[in-house]
Amino acid sequence: MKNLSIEWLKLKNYRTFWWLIGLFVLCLIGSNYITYQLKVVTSEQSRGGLDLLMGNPFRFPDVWQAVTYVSSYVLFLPGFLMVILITNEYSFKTHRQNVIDGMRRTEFVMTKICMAVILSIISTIIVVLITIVTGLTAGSSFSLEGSVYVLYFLLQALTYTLGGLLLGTLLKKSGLSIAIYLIYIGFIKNLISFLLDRYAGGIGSYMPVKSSDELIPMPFFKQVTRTLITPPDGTWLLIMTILFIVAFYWIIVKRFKTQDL
Amino acid sequence: MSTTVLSIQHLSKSYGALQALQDITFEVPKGSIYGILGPNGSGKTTMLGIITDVLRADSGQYTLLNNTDPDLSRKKTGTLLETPNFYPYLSAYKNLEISALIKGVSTMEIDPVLDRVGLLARKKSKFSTFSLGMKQRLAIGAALLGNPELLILDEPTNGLDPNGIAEIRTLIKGLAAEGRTVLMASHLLDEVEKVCTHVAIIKNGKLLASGSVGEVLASEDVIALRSADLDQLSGILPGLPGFGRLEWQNGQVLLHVDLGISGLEAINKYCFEKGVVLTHLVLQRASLEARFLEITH
Repeated sequence: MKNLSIEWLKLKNYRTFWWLIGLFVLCLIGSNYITYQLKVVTSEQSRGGLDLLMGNPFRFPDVWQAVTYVSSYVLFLPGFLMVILITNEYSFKTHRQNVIDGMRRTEFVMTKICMAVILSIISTIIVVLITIVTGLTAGSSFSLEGSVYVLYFLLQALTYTLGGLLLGTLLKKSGLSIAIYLIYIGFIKNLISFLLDRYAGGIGSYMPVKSSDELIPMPFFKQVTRTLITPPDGTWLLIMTILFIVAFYWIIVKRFKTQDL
Repeated sequence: MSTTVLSIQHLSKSYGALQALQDITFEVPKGSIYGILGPNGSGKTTMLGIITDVLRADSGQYTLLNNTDPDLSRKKTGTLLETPNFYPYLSAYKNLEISALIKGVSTMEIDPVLDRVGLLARKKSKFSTFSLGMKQRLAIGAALLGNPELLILDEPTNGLDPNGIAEIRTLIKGLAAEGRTVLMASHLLDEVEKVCTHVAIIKNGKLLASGSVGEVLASEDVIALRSADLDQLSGILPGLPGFGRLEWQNGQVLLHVDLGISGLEAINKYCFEKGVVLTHLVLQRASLEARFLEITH
């Protein structure tokens, strides 16, 4: 707790942190609002014809999957924030000062990991709230059926935040870490996955970060996609996602404990 | 109560092919101002980095404040390592609040410490708005939090103007006078001579000498002699009472001798009696620089 209050002192007056948090919440609400409105408008225009193909993704129970799926596209932001929080310490050399002042190395790194977990939990809570509001707005009654997607979303959030922390811990330099983080999330991840799917017998979905992405499949046009693509094995996706989270955690702690600060 | 606050045994560390520290061993006595003297890149910061746990040694051990828990020892040690490390977007006060919380020190101590380093009026200013000298003083202020028994100061006067340098030196002497031990690294011989009681000299990662400043930097007096026949002169000098050794230099002989046994008059008389007439007899005080260069070369 003492270390979390130290972390709070660092964040409380850090403007970039609050800007990014604000942007993240705005993007969560905005992306879901836009998708919802799009669905409403297209349904009206097709006089309900599209609904036959698309289903009712924003009504309970499907809304759990729809909102977590749409929100997952904004998860790069908390991961990005974690990259900034750790590389800031490296560039200000305050990670050194914290240790010099008597903080144990493990205390320092565990506090950062706690921050990643807290950010993931907060993201998940916001998404649950959005889901409930959206589901009720769409005129359906609340149901917990399908809410397992909330757990998948949390795992995905942990993958992004711990992934960001890992990258920052390994590379130390903020510019380089941010660039590689964004390029991996936006491009390399999909390229590797595509190449592996094509040339290595369909294991592309089980790569780091990608496996957590695929935990929540696309909720729209389910009927159509089901006939076109064979979905990856859900159990394996879950196992791989958890394995990667544990691996990220282990490498971060090990690395920080043994490296020259 | 032990009289040693820091004991370093066989510390070695390399960065790839570069051997930064080689088998360093020495002890810092309680109450001393211990200078670590060496040119830039000699391994001073690496050594201080190891004892403050920011760097990992390849081999060797250290004991800080006779404590088996190094994390606890660090809380009782005030350290300025290399550069002042603070959060630029936080005020001086808030930065020290973080240090105080880590060290487990009351925040009531922050104002007195800021006052001592002359930054109380600027306590609400962001660290990023500080000049280099102010940053350095804030770092020394942070080191003073918690009334530490031991202060580790790495190049504490770096980047300060002459006034600032004088202030910091006075501050350091004052701290030692209060019974604290100060371990400071410096590449300035003059600084070590003016401030320190003890010194360890390192170069290229090797410890060349350590002990009290008097012992290590003791300047030996040398007498320069000339005569018509230098060979004859060199032949008779070893018979002189208190003789140390001889060197040849640019047409003169440099004589190392215990002046308490054979003074200048006695030397002149001795040479004349042995049939050598001196044309030149001068006492040369060896400078501290010469002594330092002698050790480091």
